[in-house]
Amino acid sequence: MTDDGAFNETIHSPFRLRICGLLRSVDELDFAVLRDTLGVSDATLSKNLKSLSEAGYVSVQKLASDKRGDSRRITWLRLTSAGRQAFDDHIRAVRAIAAGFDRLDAPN
Amino acid sequence: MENDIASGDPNESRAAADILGELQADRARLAQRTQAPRWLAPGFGVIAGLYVLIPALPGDRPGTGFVTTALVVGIVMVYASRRITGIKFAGFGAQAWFALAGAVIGTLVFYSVALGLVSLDLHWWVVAPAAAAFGLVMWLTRVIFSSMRKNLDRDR
Repeated sequence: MTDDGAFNETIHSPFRLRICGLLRSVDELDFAVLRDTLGVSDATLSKNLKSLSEAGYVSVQKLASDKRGDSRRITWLRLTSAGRQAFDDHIRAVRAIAAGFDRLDAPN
Repeated sequence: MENDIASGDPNESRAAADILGELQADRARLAQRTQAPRWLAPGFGVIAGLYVLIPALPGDRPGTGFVTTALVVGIVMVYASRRITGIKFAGFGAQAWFALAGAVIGTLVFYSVALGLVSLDLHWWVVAPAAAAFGLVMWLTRVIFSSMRKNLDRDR
């Protein structure tokens, strides 16, 4: 890894990057809040969370039994320390690339 | 895969800038839709107001156990507000810490005023600093929540 960061193929997928971006701004976020903020379906979010979880970037903690109604169930999502590191590295790389766009966009 | 930062491809740079803009927009959306429960600020205000009323209560040691009870109620309120909002905030922020310190110091000042009023046998006048403590802490609780909400939108 350099100061310019490092691309991460797992995080680079658009939805997974947005998931990590939101989780990076909080300690923990509820599944429903994340879903509504991103405007995606439960299935899409679950699928992408599974990939992040398998990579060790996101931890999932379910409170209360699944047999209970939605109003009494909450699923807390959190970026793990490995996830934070990978996301930060990835964002540094993206920023370095975007800096090129800023230079091109700047008036002469 | 290592990134290809040095490529200088304008399309790649524009796409990267769009990605960063989208992440910022998501955070702004999250901050915008995050609202504190209506009872949170008045709840902490009531705790502060009741604490300031203690010197006016009858008995040798009025308010025994109040601080412990208030602490437990405060923790339960924070826990409940997390479940309702679906957010555990990452940090408090300088403004929130100042507001918290202001709430504690302000409540203690009003408590001292209440003690002074009781020593002058002006028991009913204690309602005035109690109401002021309620108002101050309610306002500062809103400041704290607002500060933490703004932190969501901070670029990381």
